[in-house]
Amino acid sequence: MLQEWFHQLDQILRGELTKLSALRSGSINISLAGLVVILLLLGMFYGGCIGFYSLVQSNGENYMQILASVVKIPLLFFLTLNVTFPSLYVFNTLIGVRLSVPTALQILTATLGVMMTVMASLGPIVIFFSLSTSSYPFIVILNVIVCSISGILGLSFLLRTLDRLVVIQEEEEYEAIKIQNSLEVIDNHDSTEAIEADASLAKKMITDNQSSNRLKNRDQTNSVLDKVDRLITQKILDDHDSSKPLETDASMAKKAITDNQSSNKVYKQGQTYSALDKVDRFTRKKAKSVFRIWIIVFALVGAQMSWVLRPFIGSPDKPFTFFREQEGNFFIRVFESIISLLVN
Amino acid sequence: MMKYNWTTLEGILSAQLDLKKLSLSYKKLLIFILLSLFFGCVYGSVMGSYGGIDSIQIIYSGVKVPMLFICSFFLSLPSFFVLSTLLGLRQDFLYAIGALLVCQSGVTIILCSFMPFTVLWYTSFSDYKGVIIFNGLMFALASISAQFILRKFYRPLIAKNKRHLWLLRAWFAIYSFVAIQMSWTLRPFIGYKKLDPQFFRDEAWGNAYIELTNIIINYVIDKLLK
Repeated sequence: MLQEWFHQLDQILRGELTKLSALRSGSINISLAGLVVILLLLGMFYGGCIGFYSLVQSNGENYMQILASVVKIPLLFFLTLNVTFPSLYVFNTLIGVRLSVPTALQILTATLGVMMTVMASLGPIVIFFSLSTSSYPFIVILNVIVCSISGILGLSFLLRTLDRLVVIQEEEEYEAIKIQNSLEVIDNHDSTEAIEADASLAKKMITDNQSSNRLKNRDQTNSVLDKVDRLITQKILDDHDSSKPLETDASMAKKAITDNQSSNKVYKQGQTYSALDKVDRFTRKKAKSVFRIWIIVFALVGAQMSWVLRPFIGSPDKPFTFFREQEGNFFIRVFESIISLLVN
Repeated sequence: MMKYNWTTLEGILSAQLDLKKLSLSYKKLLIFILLSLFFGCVYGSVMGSYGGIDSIQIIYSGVKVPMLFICSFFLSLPSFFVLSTLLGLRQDFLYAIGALLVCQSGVTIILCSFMPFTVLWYTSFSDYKGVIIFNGLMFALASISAQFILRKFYRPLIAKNKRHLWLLRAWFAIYSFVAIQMSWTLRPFIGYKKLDPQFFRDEAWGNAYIELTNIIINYVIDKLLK
């Protein structure tokens, strides 16, 4: 079972569960329970790496710090998730991005999976430096850099996944408009008149109906128009009079159907898909801005949450406590560590 | 072992080894790790001969040089694996690792080719600082030369997907970061004649980056005060 859960994490990292074709089903196919267990294991491992410094500096006496960090690292990430999750769901709904609660939770948990995996992969390097260096400010900066790198990669993953969900939603809306217009044209078609005139009228209606902020990409417009041709041509074939030659109808049908453009990103031969790929289409500016602001909020909340839950490393000058007194903040402490490194 | 002979060495140095045939399994990559261990051990032994051919430093350095390469490699490997997965480059992971291991073998082979120069320097000059600088120069030359090997092996990967170049840069950053500290921690490699040979120096447990920053800042302050 553990192997299956790791395989699922592997699929998340590869981007297989968050690519456009996988997201079109409306939700992400992730087992939350399994992913949470893996996150706990990875978080506990990194907590052990981060608390190892205190064990080495105290010559094995201060083992409580490592136990505390093993608990606090997973706690840090899950508390940050709890604090920021409601705002992600609410703001997405406000800007019109339809994200159900389970899907939002799956996406955020997958994001934590990416972060924890990157942190755990850098854990051996943290252990090595904890063994070989006695400088506390250096270890603080090193762990901040490790967490920053994992945060950047994890939030990039989140951003790309949210962008893909918006693109899918926009495609569905465009499809709905196009089908609605086509159905109107077909329903109102007068069989005594040539259908070509109606087809061009349908196209004009579709392009006129789009707002100035939509369908700016010419390829996407052509894709929609080709689908209109396909629908209308299908109607021609369905209504074909067997007493008349089929060639004209068939050539129209072939042209429309074979000119179908793929709605997925076109990859060059040999290029593979990545979880961090940008979506090559336009997404709503408002949605983009809201996502980016939310990501900054997530980063700030995570940083300050780490300050609230300190100590993780354990200063060699101070006795062990599970929590320190609340004073100052994360950013001042990082700044002081950098100055301390340079001055000493 | 009959399959791997001088042709393999020539294949490594001229980057004409067909990795696609060799990289069928992780076991096949062990040969490059063994090459790094062997040639690293040989050059390390020569490095440690500064204190005399009967010095135990020869054995210490013969163990530490391969340790430097192998430990730095395996400490950096997990993050390389995760980054390659995130960037969608996992299907080329085996080939990429093979190329990196070949490059590492190349560094140790080139170092061994510099052995006669090292012996000549030791017999000609006895200044300890000069010896450190000389060996540092040999390592730098070997590393730079091995980049030609790595670039040739990596060319098909980069042509296939430009993300491989970014992954390679990330590898260099992580590997260098670890290797510099590892070399500081594992010293001495040469062995100061006035001190007894030791595997680790008692006072040498410190941070290479802090020491380097101190040296730079002190140098700058001295220059400014003058």
